[in-house]
Formats: sequence, C-alpha cells, structure tokens
Amino acid sequence: MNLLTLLVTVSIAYCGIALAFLFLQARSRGKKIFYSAARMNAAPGIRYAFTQGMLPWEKESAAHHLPTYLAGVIYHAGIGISLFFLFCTLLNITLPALLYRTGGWIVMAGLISGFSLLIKRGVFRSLRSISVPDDFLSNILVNLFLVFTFSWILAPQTLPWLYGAAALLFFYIPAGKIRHCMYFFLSRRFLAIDLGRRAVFPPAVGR
Amino acid sequence: MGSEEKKPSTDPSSGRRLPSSSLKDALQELKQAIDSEYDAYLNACVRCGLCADSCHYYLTDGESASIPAHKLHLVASVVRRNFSYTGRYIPFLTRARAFDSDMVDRWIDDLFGRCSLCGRCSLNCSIGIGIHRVIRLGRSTLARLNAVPQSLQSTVDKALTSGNNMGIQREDWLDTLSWIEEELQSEIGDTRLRMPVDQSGARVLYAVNPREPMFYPLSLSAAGKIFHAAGESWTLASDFFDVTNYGLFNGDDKTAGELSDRLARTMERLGCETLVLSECGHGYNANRWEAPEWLKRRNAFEVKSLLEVMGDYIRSGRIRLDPSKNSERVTLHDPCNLVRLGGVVDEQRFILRHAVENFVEMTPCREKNFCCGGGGGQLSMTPFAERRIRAGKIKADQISATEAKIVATPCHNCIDQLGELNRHYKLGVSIVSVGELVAEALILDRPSES
Repeated sequence: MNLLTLLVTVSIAYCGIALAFLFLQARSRGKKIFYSAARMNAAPGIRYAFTQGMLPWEKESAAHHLPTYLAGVIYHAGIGISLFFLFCTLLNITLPALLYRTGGWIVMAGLISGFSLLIKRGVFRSLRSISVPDDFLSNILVNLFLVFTFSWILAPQTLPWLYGAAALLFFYIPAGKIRHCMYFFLSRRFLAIDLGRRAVFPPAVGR
Repeated sequence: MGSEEKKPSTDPSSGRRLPSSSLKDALQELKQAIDSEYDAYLNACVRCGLCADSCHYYLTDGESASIPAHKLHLVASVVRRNFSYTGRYIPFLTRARAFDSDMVDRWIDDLFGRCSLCGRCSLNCSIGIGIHRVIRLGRSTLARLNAVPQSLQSTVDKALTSGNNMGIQREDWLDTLSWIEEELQSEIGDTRLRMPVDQSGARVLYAVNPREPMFYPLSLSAAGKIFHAAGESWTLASDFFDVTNYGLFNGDDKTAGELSDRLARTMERLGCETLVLSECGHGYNANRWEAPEWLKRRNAFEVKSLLEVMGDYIRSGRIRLDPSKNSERVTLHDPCNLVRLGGVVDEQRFILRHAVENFVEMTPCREKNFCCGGGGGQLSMTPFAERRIRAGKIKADQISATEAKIVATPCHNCIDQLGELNRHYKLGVSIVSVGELVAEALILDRPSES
C-alpha cells in the first residue's frame, strides 16, 4: 500500500467515523415521542417521501426548476459512479471496459452538471445571497473529484491525482454541507413521519 | 449570506439591547429544545434555493431575506456558532453567527415578519427539511427573550388573562348566544332550537373562534342550525370557548399548552366525548396535533374539525342539503394549518360538492395551496401588515383566476385576510365559511303541530 492509498483509506475511515459520530449525536438528542393520536400510520408517508414524493410532478419546486433538478440528479449519479470506481481501485477490483466507458459518460455528465450548479450559484443574485463559502468549496471539491475520476478513466496514470482529490473530499465531508449525505435521510424521514401521521403524506389524490 | 447585511425594517420590539446573560440563557434553552429532529433539520440544508419560489413572501417581494433557506440559516447559523466545532473554530466557512442583539432584531424581522408558518417551503424542500418547524423554534427562543412583537404577544396575553383572545366578557358571550338562538328560532320556525351552554354530558363540546361572536355571528348561527338539523347532543362552554391558540405563533410552548389545556379541562368538566373545533385553521393544528405534544399527554377525548362532523352528517343522512340554494360559482381556499399541516383535505370538498351547485378549485390547491398570508400571527402583527397584504397578492391572483363569486374557507383568520385582500385587490367576491354555505343549503323539516 503506497502513501496515497493509505491517505485515501484514512480519509474514508475518518469520514465514516465522523459521520457516524454526527448521526449518533443527533440520535442522542432524544427521539420525539408523539402524544397526539395519529390519523394514519406514518409508514406510507415515509415510503412516499423517499420515492414518488421526490418526483417533479409531485414537487412544485422540482417541476418549476426542472433543469436544476435534473442537474442535481445527474450530479449525484456522477458522484455515485465515481465513488464506486474509487472503491474498486482501492480494492483492486477490475471492471469490464464497457462499465468504465458507460460510467465515464455519466461522470462527465455529472461534472458538467456540477459546474453548471456552481456557475448558477455564482451568477444568480438570489442564490448567491443565501450562499456561504462552504457551498462553493463543497461543490469545487466534488467537481475536482469528478474531474480526476474522468481523467483516470481516460488515463490510468493519473490515479494519484484521483486519490489526492478523494482524500481532500473525504476529509472535508463531515465539516461542510456534503454531510447532507447522512442528514438527508434523517431529515426527510422526520418530516415524513410528521406529515404521514397527519395524513398529508402521501397526498390523498392517488392514495 | 448577502441578505444578512441588509438592515431590517421592523417592529417596535426590535432595537432593544439585550443583556448577555439573557441571551446566554435563551441559547441554553434553545440547545435543550434541539432534539434529533431539529438536529437533522438544522444540519441538512444545502442552500439549493429551490424553496424560494414556494414562499409567497419571496414571490411578491423578491428579497433574499424572504427565502425560506435564509430564514432557516438564521437559526442554523446561531446554533452552529455556539454548539458545533466547525462553527466555533471556522465560523467563516458556514457564516456561523453570534447571538447578539442585532441578530435578535434580524430574527424578529425575518422569522416573525416574513413567515406565516404555512409549511409550503417544507413540502417543496429538496432535502425534506421541516423549515416551518425550525422557524417556530427560532420564535420560541425569541419568546424566551420576551422579544415577540408586542401586538402578537398582547393577543396571547389577552387570551391568558380573559379566557379568549378578544377579551369577550362572559355576559356578552351569553347575550350573543341568546340573541342568535332567538334569531334562529324565528328563522326556522322551531322553538326547540337551542344554543346550549354548559350542558353536562352532551356528546359534543363546540369551541369557537372569538371573532365569530364578535364579527361573524352568521358563522356561529350556521353551526347552531347544523347541529340542530342533525339532532346533535352538543354544548358550548360559558367560560373557555376559544378555539384559537396564538401560542402556536409566538412559539411559547408553555403558554400554548396552557391555552389548549383549558379546552381539555372544559371537556372533562362537562363530560363531553368529542371536542369539535370551529372552522379555524391554526386552532385545529394547535388543539388536534400540537396540544398533546405541548402538554406531553394523550387526549382522553376525540378532537374533530366541524368539517369532519358536517361530512359525517351528510354521509349518514343526518342532514340533507339542497345545492341549488347556493347557485353561484364557489371556490375554496385551503387554510395551511388545517390542510397542509392538519391533514383535513377532502372533507371540505365533499361538503361543498353537496352544498353548492358550481364548485371550482384554485390552482394550486389542497396541500400545495398558497397561504393567504394571514397565518403565523400575521393578522395581529400590525408592523408587518404591509408585507402581509403584498404577500397576499398570490392568493388574490389565484382567486381572480377562478372567476368565482364566493370564496369559502374553513378558517376565520383566512376570512379576515381574504376580506382585506378582497378590498385591497378589488376582487369583488364574498368570503364565507363552509358552514355558512351548508346552513344556507340545509333542508329543514318544519316541526309538526304535535
């Protein structure tokens, strides 16, 4: 194991431990006990929130900002593929060439989406006004990770650059907004439980 | 955040210099109030900005301070600065902010003055953050600092001291019921109709919005007529009859619990089975959903909206309606606290389809409906009245698009706000409660001679 491989491994371990700590910290703050009588079981509401409830025809904000919504979806797909490739290299797993080619296109599309979102954040006044340095830094670190994943697919000798970018990213994740990769699930579940018990989720139309 | 550099306009309660000990105490209480749900909400925002267009404030003023993510960030930035390592050691990264008098002013202006706690942003949040809940959490912290806008706080204080938020005296309340009873008896020609008060053992205790006896007696008499037609065993209380609970809006859980507990105690005193809440959006949310959480105990009785009760009457044939008596085009405004946050979505539609001939929906409607702007205590916060009317433009446009002559809404705060919008935007519509339309359409059997 060379130094860079070790660095990436350590950064992943650190990231995992830190996110686990944040998760346990959130849980240790106390689970909400409901005293009001539920109108409905919350389970269908939770299922809805994590599936249909995220689709543009269900969510006005997504429908009205379809390009941003799609960019977000593609960006996350690109990140997912990049992470998959990274773990494969760390575990010395070689994938079929077709997978690298297909994955490469998704990573590239994700990269374009990521840069578009970065530009949008910088250009649109309203979005810039609610942004903090973390928003830009997080986006740049993820974009770098995608850039080097893509370059590694084209030129495997750039692997050290990919490892470097990945290590930076993993060390940063628990401190910045990318930790929403964990909080997303908690937050959405809590909202779904609340609205599910009240029979707001899933909406009655189509229930 | 750029918007934070903007000086808040604001309320008379701002501009004060708060002692640091009070701020520290409030912060500690804020920390204690953060359970796992709030912890997730406070840490999950990615500031994608997609919530902006879901807010009627932002849509009408375009100010970044009105973007829900900004309001969420105001609270999150203080929490981060004081209770997280990143916020403490690298505050620049997330613009974590200290909790000082300036920040308190900003909270007052943005959390009270630019939000009606309608929850529309929460439904549209790409992550799924209960943004309205975090904003109320911020309001709770302000309540601990006695920094609630004076006009809102005085509504809460009046409810606490007089038993109802309009300070109606018991004698006046009973007089009003008495003349409503006489009027109704004469209208339907049946002296058996009663507006019963303090009837122990009645099945239903009916709680009303104090604005009904004060300004909207038709709404109260409609309920009396409907209960009579259904042959319901019901009563009103002579003392605690107020369905409203502005503790939901000022964020003070203790006071809110105390106000709701009065209805619970009245239920116990009169031995009623079901607490039926008049058409009041926030009253429903407060008493049906939030009160058990504030009081940390389960209700020993059932809580229903008058809409649910009327719906049951129609379904079971206890009342019959003639929709031809309401022939004009009617649209429906969904109160946020009743629909989006309360889950009463279909009942009012079922009722209107039986009570009126020509019912049209607004777009969007149901849980996606826009707030009229009157929620969140906005109607009582006079310093923010201009913003409230401006934010109501979305609703005014929605109403105009339906070409309806009548707007029905099961909420008296909404009725007040829609009334103002009607005048301001010259909509030329009538604003009524759903019960009034039902009462108008009632088919009543004349009492037999025997």
